[in-house]
Amino acid sequence: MIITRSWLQEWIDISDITTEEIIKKLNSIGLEVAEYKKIDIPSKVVVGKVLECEKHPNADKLSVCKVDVGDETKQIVCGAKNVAKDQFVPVALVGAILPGDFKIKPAKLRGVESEGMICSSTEIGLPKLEEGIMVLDESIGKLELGKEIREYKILNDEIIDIELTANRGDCLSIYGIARELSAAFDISVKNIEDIVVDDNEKMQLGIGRVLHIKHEECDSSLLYKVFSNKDYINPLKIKVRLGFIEEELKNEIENLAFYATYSVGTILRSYGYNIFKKENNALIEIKKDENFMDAVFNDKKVSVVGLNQIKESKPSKDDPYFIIEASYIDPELLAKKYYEASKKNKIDTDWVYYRSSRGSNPDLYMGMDYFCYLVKEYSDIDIFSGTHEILKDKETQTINVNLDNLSKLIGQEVSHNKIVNILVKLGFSIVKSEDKNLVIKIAPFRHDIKNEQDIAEECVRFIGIDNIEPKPFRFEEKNRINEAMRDFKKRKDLRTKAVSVGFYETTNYIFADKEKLMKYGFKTVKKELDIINPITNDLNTLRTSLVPGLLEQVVNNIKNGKRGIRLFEIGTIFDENRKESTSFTLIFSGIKEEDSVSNHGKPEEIDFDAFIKKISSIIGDFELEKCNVQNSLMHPFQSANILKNGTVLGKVYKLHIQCQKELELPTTYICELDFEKIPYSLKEAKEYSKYQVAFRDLSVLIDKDIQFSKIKEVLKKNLPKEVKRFYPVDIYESEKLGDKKSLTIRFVVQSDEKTLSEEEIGVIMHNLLDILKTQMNAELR
Amino acid sequence: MEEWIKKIAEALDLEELERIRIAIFGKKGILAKEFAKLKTLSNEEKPKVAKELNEIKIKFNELISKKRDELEAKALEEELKKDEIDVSLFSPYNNKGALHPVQDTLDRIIEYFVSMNFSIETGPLVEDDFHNFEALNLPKYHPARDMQDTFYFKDEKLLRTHTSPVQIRTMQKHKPPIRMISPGAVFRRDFDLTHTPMFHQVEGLLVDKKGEVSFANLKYILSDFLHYMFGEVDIRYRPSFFPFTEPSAEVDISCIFCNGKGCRVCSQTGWLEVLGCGMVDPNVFEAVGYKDVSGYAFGLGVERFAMLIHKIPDLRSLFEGDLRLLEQFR
Repeated sequence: MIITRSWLQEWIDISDITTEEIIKKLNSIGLEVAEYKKIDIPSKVVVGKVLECEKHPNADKLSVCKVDVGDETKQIVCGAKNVAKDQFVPVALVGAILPGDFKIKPAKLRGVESEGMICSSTEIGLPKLEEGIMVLDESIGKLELGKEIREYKILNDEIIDIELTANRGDCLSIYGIARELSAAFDISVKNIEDIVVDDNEKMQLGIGRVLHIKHEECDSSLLYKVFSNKDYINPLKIKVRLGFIEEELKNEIENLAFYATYSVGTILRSYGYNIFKKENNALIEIKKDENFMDAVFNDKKVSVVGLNQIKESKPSKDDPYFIIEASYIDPELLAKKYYEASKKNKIDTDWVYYRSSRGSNPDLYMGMDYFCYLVKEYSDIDIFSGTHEILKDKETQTINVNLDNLSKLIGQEVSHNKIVNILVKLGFSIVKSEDKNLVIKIAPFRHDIKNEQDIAEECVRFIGIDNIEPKPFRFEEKNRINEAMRDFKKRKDLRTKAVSVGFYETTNYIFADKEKLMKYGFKTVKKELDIINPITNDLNTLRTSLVPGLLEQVVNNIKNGKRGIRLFEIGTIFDENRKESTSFTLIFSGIKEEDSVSNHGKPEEIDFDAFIKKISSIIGDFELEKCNVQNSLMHPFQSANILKNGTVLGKVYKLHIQCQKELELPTTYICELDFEKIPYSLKEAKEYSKYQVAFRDLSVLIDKDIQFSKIKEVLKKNLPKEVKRFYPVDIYESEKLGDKKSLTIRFVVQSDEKTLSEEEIGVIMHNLLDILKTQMNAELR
Repeated sequence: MEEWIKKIAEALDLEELERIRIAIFGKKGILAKEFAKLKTLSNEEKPKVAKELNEIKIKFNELISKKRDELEAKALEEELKKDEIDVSLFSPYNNKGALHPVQDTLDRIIEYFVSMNFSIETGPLVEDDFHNFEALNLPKYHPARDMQDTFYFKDEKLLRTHTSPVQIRTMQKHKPPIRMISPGAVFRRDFDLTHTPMFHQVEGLLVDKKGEVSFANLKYILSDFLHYMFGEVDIRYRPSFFPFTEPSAEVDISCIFCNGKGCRVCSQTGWLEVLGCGMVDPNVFEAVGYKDVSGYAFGLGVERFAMLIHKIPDLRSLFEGDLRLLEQFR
């Protein structure tokens, strides 16, 4: 909602208040100022009168004008088509500096002297109003030759753009804003009666001669008036203000009606006469349309109250008369009906819907009277006497307000007088007033006020939130540690550990490219559960894995010249049924460490062993088993399930070579973990042996294709209790060994009861070898 | 004797010293020879010479021991010297990663409210109309729904446009009093320089008996919180509108880039909008079946906080995993 200072001044006397104070006040009462702009018309641009206007002797498109600029007459060559004798125009005198550092100097144009320039609106820093030069008229004030244009405050105005919240339909007019300021500054707002003094209608011909109305039961209130249609052009004041509010210019009658609406908030539509014409009279029929909304008909539907209007029904030159309709409909009812109707069919709306659905001014006479006032002021259009009206009684709502409740809600005492004063200024009336209780009649234009808490808001707005003293809340303490708190701690713990081993945390959108997910072999969210209105084609579904997003980030980092990329993300993923879960995914691509003296400037790329060591620094010890899942991301021979206490937490794998090549990546490893499955609980200490530990190796020859996990399984089943731990320390294959390989396993032997003798250890090792011999077909090397 | 003292003093290493020691104290050493001579001496001379020899023995022992300490210290010194490196060749670089600035800011926010005895509550990202809109006093036809462009699914579910549905779910599950925050990702169909289709919010809710909770309480905690996050800044409250609170306000801090003088970041206003808040609208309590209660609620965008605190100019860079940005938080 754009307002200008001079426009505001027409409704409230702000001459003693600076614009800065007004902006501050607007902000403090909840009308947020988004932008402020001061028009700055350059000096030495003055009012001139075109005394003569002749064709240039040497140029078809130029005119040579004699212009009276007060104390002298200047010869000025002008290129605008619309320049004409007797016009009042803005003249930039020699020495003026126009926007864009355009200095006006004496010039010779095709051999003719020119001392100055006749200006268009944009040349002096105003909005574009029409083609050619700007023609002045007295709507901006008395025109005095030689007077600086910047002294006309209607042109050299100050413009304030207010970002209105959706509940404040009552502030969608200059009058509405003036009313707010009147409560804020405690000065009165002008009434329509102060402005429209003369209500004598020039034409005594009654409306009934030319227009009839037929109607059914209506939800809305409507008011019609007829005007003679003459060749009419809006005065400069209206044009320039419509320019300031960035209103797209329509025909002159529509513009004038819109100007009236913008000024006072009443919805005014204009219609041509001919579209309703039936022989020697015109008939407007108002009935419900197919959506049960009030609509204006001739034979067909012409407009819907609060919603839209067909183009053909707007006034045109051929119409002998035009009709102005003032309308009001309850915004909630309109919004509901529109919502229901738009579910069936797409419905076009125009500017009226925006205003009507937020709540327009229900005072139809105010709007119509103001329009008539403008017509009389600026045109010789005749006004038919009388109106047609369909008025729906608006129930006046009252609210009971208890002052103690208000004080408690706000947190400090609010005085009876102060509240009453604020509310009255805002257009509310007090029906009943006791010590602590008020009965308040809601202002009919305040659609947002429904209960006591809404009244509290009005108080807060005008007392000023900054004047409320902050107070701590007193409460009963309570243990609030819950599952979400534990998850937060676990997440933080894992993230911190990942960071400490070199990973960078990252975030991706939860959206993904369905095609890409399918290409990588991930499941996707079922069609019937997918997004209807994705924002872009490559974010057209929900992600079912964090990997594609992370891979893309790795690719981009490689493009940016990074050689070792370590990223992780903890985020939501979805399954086919759109069930949410949390994934913890890490990716490591390229060099293992930065190049330095220690690696002679040639760091190695990440490998399986180094990667899983990093993972274990984050989630603790785990075991690996061959993973049998196959997709186009996973290297089929370097992929494993990560197990902890027998539960699969996720998988770790090398990126498939094919995929690596396509993405032009260095060696890349990925670990996907199910966040929920990663254990996070307190540890319990067990008793430990205090006797000596012995380390003993067994080197055996076994079949080449036996995986260590198999050996582990067999040993675990038969493990003597003195063997605390065993693990492979060497593996060796060679041609000489044929289809065998040499494996060295280290055993940690320790008794809980005593220090074992060499013989006792020997027996244990012998038994272990026996197991391997009999069950794994191993032989001692 | 003098000759041997000299030899000890001139010994170059421990090995030589050991050879000298054996030459003096060994079975065939000079002392053994001298002691052997004792047998040939008379009984009167014997004690005297023996005493002398013993003194010499003690003297040699002392000298050797002293020399050994000396040589050992020297050997250790040499061993240490062998390990000498040019430490300035080494500077560990890029071994630690970093938390994401948005997640890190989220942590700080959560930690503040947890320390103020708020509970953390979470809820689904895929929501229904009731929890995301209806129960928050946003009926289907409400014009304020235009403010939130929503992602919809084919089965009429939607991606939550704010974390407020978690408040509704928490109130449905628990009786008052409530003292909670709901942090998490939210989604709006908007993608340009200053909007991303996903971002993070933290919302807070406090509910207690009717008449207990006031706007003054809300101001207290939010002002304290903003000072915790941004340090010494001025705070301004502006009345505003949210369908689920009444009265509602937006909270600004004085611009931390220009100290309120006006700059590009604050659009020359000197203020930065950082929070929305208000007293819970009675319609919201009605929707969850709460009676005779009062409460406040607030909400903030985590990305905005992170960008202001860390002076990150581009919102979209927060979702790109670009190490050129992330490495700066190492």
